[in-house]
Amino acid sequence: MKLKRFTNRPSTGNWVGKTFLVMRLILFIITISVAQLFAVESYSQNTRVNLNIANQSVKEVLGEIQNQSEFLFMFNSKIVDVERKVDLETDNEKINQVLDKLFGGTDIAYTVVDRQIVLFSTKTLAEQQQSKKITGKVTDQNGGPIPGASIVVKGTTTGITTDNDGSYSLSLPTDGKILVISFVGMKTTEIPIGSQTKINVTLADETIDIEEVVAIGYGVQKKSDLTGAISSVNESSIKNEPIQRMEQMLQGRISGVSVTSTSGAPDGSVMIRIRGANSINAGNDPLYVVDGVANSDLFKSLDVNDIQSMEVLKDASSTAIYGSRGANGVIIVTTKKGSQDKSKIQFETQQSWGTVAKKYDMLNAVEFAKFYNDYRKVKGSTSDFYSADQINDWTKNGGYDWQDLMFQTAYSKNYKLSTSGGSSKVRYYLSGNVRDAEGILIESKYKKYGVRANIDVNSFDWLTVNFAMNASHDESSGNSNGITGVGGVIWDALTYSPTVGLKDADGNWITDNVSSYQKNPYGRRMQNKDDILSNTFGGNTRFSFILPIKGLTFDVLGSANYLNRSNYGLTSAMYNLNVQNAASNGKNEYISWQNTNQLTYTNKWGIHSLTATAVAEYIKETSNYQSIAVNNLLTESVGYWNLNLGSMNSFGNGYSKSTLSSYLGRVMYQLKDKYLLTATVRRDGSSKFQGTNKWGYFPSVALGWRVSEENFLKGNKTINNVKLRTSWGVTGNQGIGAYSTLGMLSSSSYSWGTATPYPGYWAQNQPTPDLTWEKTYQWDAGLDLGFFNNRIVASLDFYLKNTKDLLLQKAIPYYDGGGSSYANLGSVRNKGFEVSLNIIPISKKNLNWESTINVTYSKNEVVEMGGNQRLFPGDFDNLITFNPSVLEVGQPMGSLWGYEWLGLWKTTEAAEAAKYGQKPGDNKTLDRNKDYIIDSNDQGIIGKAFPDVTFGWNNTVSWKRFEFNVFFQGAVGADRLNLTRYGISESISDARFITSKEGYYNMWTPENQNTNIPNPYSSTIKTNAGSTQYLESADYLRCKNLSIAYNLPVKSNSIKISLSVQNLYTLTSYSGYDPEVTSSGTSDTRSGIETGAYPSPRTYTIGFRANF
Amino acid sequence: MKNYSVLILAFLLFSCDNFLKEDPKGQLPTDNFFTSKADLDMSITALFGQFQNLNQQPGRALYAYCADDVTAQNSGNKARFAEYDMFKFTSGNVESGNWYSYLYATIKATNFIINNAVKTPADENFVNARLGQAYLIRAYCYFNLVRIWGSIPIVTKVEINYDAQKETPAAVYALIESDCTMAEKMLPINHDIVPYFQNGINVAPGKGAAKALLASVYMTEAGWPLKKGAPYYDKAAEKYKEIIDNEAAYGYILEPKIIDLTVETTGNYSKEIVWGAFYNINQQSYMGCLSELPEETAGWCDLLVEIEFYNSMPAGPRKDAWILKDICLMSKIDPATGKPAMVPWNSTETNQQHPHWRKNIDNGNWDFKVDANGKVSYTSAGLAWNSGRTKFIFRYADILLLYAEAKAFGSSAPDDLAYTCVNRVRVRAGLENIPAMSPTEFQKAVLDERRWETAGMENGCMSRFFTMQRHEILHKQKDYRSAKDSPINQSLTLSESFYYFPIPDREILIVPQMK
Repeated sequence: MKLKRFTNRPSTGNWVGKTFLVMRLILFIITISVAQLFAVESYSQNTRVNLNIANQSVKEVLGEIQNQSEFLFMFNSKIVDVERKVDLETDNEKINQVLDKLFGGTDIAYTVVDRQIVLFSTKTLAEQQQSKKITGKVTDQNGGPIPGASIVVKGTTTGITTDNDGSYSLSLPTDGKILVISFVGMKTTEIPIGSQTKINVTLADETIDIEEVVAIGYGVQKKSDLTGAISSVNESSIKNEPIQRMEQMLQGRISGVSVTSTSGAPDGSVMIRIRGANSINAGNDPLYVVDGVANSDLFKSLDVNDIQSMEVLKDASSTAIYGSRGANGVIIVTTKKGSQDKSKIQFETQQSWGTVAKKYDMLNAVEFAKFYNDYRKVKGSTSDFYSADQINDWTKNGGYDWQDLMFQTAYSKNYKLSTSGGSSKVRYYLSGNVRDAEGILIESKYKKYGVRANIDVNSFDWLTVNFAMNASHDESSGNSNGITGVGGVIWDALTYSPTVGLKDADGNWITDNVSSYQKNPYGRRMQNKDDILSNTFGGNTRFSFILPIKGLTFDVLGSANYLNRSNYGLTSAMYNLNVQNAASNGKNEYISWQNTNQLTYTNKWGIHSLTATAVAEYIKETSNYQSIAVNNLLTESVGYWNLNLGSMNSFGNGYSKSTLSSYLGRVMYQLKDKYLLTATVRRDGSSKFQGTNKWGYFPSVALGWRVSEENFLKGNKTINNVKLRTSWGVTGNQGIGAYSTLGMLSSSSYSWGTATPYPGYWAQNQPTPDLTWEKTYQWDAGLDLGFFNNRIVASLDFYLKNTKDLLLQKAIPYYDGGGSSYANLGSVRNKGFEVSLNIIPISKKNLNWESTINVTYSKNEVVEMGGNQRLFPGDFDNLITFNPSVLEVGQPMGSLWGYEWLGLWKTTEAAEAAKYGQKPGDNKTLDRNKDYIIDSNDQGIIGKAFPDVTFGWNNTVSWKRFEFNVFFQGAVGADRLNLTRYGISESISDARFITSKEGYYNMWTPENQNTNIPNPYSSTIKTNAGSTQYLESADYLRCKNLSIAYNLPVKSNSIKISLSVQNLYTLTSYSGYDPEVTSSGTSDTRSGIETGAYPSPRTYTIGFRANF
Repeated sequence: MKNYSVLILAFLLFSCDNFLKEDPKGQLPTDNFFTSKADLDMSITALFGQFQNLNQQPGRALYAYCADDVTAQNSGNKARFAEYDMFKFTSGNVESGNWYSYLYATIKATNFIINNAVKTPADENFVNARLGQAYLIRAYCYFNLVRIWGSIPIVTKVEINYDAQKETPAAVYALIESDCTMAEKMLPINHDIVPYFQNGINVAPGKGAAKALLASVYMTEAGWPLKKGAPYYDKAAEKYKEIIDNEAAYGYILEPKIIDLTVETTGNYSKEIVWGAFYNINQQSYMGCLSELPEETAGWCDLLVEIEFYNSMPAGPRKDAWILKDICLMSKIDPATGKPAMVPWNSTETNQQHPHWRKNIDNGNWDFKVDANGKVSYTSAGLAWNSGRTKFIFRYADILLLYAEAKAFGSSAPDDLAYTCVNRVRVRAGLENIPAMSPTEFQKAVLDERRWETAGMENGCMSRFFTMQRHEILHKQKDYRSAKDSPINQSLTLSESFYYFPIPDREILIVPQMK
């Protein structure tokens, strides 16, 4: 195992270099892409022609130009008089200048298409077109026919719709020059007719258009009119990637959004942060809004295939519309709806195989046994622990590879079926999906079944009703308990002696007696049960009225969502006959209810246009739970389904409810379509706060200037779009539990020496009636750019967020009972810079390359914490013996705390080492106060858990019927305390002996002093987990997806087959399984520590999709 | 049009204050509590819930490592214990806040009762039998705090106050004496209802416990640091004697076979218990078992027996009950028995080469045997840390020896009762009666006897550390500590910086004036 870094690491400098490396890489790619673009676009601009012609025919002149250049002339010699003699002299002139001279004063015109130049007569064209008939076919990008598409001759009333196979036939009026082809959901296309009589049109999905409409919360807006920082992803962003989870649609695809899979389990938790973390204690998860309904459970239960688009609202002008819940950003999901007149059915399946992408190099049984025998001899033992017979046996038959035992090839299946269509009265979208997945850890499984219906009904010409229903059931087995952390099966398997197998002759699971203290991890996986069943059911109905005042509409939305989550556990005594078995059963219900009433007024007066919105909204969320746990089950054969067979251990139930009452207003005003203003204000009332603190105001304002609409840029062929945006606003966070300001009594039971607990209550918490919202003040400045027909689209944003009056858990002195209570204290600052680029370097009939790049730099800083310079969130760590997570003023959240490790004492430093009671080969730790005692006075900040820069680069290339996708994603600037590596490389109290090759072959010896593994034989060694010794850079660049798809040549429908690999390769110096996952879950304050985290799998997928 | 307006108005006006009102169903409010007898009982149960947290893990009472009976290995995650063993403790030690914070959390639960119990609609006896327990436990907690940290803040309200100041030991002792006296007056000799009285003993502390604590407070005030001297030893002796003279009424005995104290079935409700913390193996169980078990038997090995202590302790049933002399090597099968091999503690086959404590390890799950020759065997069956063992705060054996100690250092010569007390304990330990001695010899004999009897991590109210502190001999152990134990800080002297612990870092961070 080669490690690039194990010396002490400077806190800055290193990542800067890496950031620049990545920046340079990306810059290089952009340059290549753009160069490609220039090459295509500007041949006619760059090519110069030198002619000196006297009295030659036009035909000869054209021949000369063809000789000098790559231009090819196309003309009908009956129309163009090529025998005409001319004189022509040009000196390094562009082709259009040359042609203007050549045909000046004649009726011959020309068009330059790439290297082809078409000559035609303007007079003849008009004459010819008088009684012309045009035929053709309209298809979508996959080649499928579009029936019902409308074809209109521009500026006339002549038009027709396509028939069932997308064909049309049209008589052209004399003044018809351009065809306008349109279809719902597709980009409207205009085609100059010219001399053509057969025009086949491929319509592109509307979403690629700059005129795309995006959801902005309580409405939609044309992308070109946006004043806020809003980014979108849609189906085409994840082309040919077998994405199964909503969160993964966002990863690496949107600037300013960091998506981290903290576990590789099939339903492992995913951490989404929009523009960094604002809050220390009140949570940083964004608000999820699905078709206007704010509910994160609903979001998570959706299937990716049912998504039309996802918008991420980042700046305050966009999020302030969500007021007290907007501070962490908002993710708006628009689901697919049926479209009029066109029935579609789509079937899709993916079969995939996941494997563990990287393994540790571990000692085999023979190496381990010899090492341990040596070790015991040095420690004074006179006998061998492992006999020569045993070692011979392992030499012959091998020992046990615990990584192979614990990880498996995970086979997963996905099936999706959907149909959509409708008439002018009713439109529908109906879908169902099944997922049956295995995790790469043995006994890790996940199943999900979902159905969805989305129906629109035009009841009257003034009323549209939308009804959406979503139901899903999922079963997660063996994914939540006892997996990560010290004592979890991954850590235990890695620290288990390779000499220890599964079962002994009596059929009992064997326990390690040399390295790990824990019970057989394989046995635990096999015997224990840990199942979670969830049922989600949600429905919402939206009545949209068109009111009799022009431009005024009224929407009423009613929504109810229900989630039932049951967890069942069995802790077996089978792998350890001496402990009690235990079983438990718990049920949680979450019911949410929302009513939104919205008035919208849209109008346009000359150069003024206005959209005004007023909303009243009421939300209620209730939850309740019941749980029961028993132990001493008489038989485990009943699993957790007959708790009567055990003796009662505990039971409980509880109830919680919170409500939110909101009123908001928004004005969007545009002057001349180039000066844009958006102003919003929201008033929220929350049940979680008391008295007047219940109510808060959240205002915002944003300005936009479409510079490209000004005269000096309008019509510019290179620069299509320039827009400047700026916004300011206030958003809130109310992420505390219901009733937490009331100071209710806490329970504390005591059994008085009996087997039955007596209930007791005491005043552990005090009321905090003064508590109110946490507020985030955000300023944003953005620039949107479009070049070369929007083949380069760029968006740049800078933001500054100050979060104040944090809902901080202020520590209570121990003498007043300890713990903490919420107070509005302290502030956190986030600032950052985001770039997203969408480039189409190649756009040809048979070859198209689209490339999207986004880069996010963010800096988080704790500014103030109620007078505390430093706080330690959470508890001490058992391996480290102090708390390795720190919050310090001036430092980012998620900072790591500990000792600076200076390497190992060298033999030449024996005298100095002795002053610390250490010997050469022991750890050398920075003694900050030079008192020759290594204690808490020598600790400091040693690293940080979250990256500075995250980026994604997605490429889709289509060539004829093939589509290729390669998607890279990465992060720079984060550190990991790799305590798994510590546990397997050193002899420590929780993993008594060394199991890794590194720990054995790279240990310190007088001959091998330049290593990071201390001398394991030393009696003076002090192991040092909480130091820079095992702090590694978690920078990575990962090939997240590589796929190839082929569209079968099938008429009137489309069938696509794809092959793909996810997580193909990760470029990182991190020595652990996966630089992305951690054992610390989704915490913002305590992270970056890895003790056997569940690694992300490498997955090979075969996909099949058919549209009819 | 009109219809629309009505519709819109109806939606926009839908709002009332009730919609945002919190109704915490199922939860109990602070201001409406103590309105029934059941409320008062629930508050007492919660108080003992905190009290059991306090005593749950042997390692929480770090002061025990500073005494000359308990040591810890100076490596891995035990180094934090060894810091105390070696007198190299710092305010940043991760364990340093445990005992301190659990004591104050328990005080918070007592203050809630002491300030509110009077509201309970019940007769005086009913209230006193409960209120007295709150006073007693508050005194117990402050008594621990003042002895371990010296000057500490006095908190008698349920509040959050960042401006509290440290009070001198004298002021703290005044509160402790007052609380003890209240408890002594209020508590009955025997409680009259289940669960406070069951299995023939007071599971909730009664008058005997209050007297024992008050006597112990007097005795401590007699020594370091207040040094009130002989008059306070006399007061202490008088108070202990009130218990001993009435042992039949209180129902206290010495458990005839000492090993029965270390077995769940016989020890949990022993009539020797004057005051205990009781556990439930299925709920919050006592964690002494795995904490004390050797590593070879899959224990945590949090504490070890000091070699010098082991050598000085006279053999007999007490030593067999208190100390694990032989270690079971789970990894090595003895061919003779077919069971895991037993080796003596000093075998090089063991990791620590130390005797282990076995006072708390018998959780009833495994088969511990001592044969006629004192040979120990046990099977490695009981690996669960769950244990329902009762933790002793005061045993009657302590009371007898504490009386003897009070007489030994008091103004008059030790009386016959003092000798009888010592001898009752010695006989049970398998030792002979002590002969008549000079006062100084008697002092030494009593202190030795107490050292052996209350050895190990009993978390007892008057354990060895407090005796050594009171008699100013803590620092002397550096002269006799075995080289096989973790090396003791050679600059250890009789000074507050070693005799008291530093206030934990977290407290100073939050409230700087606590430094």
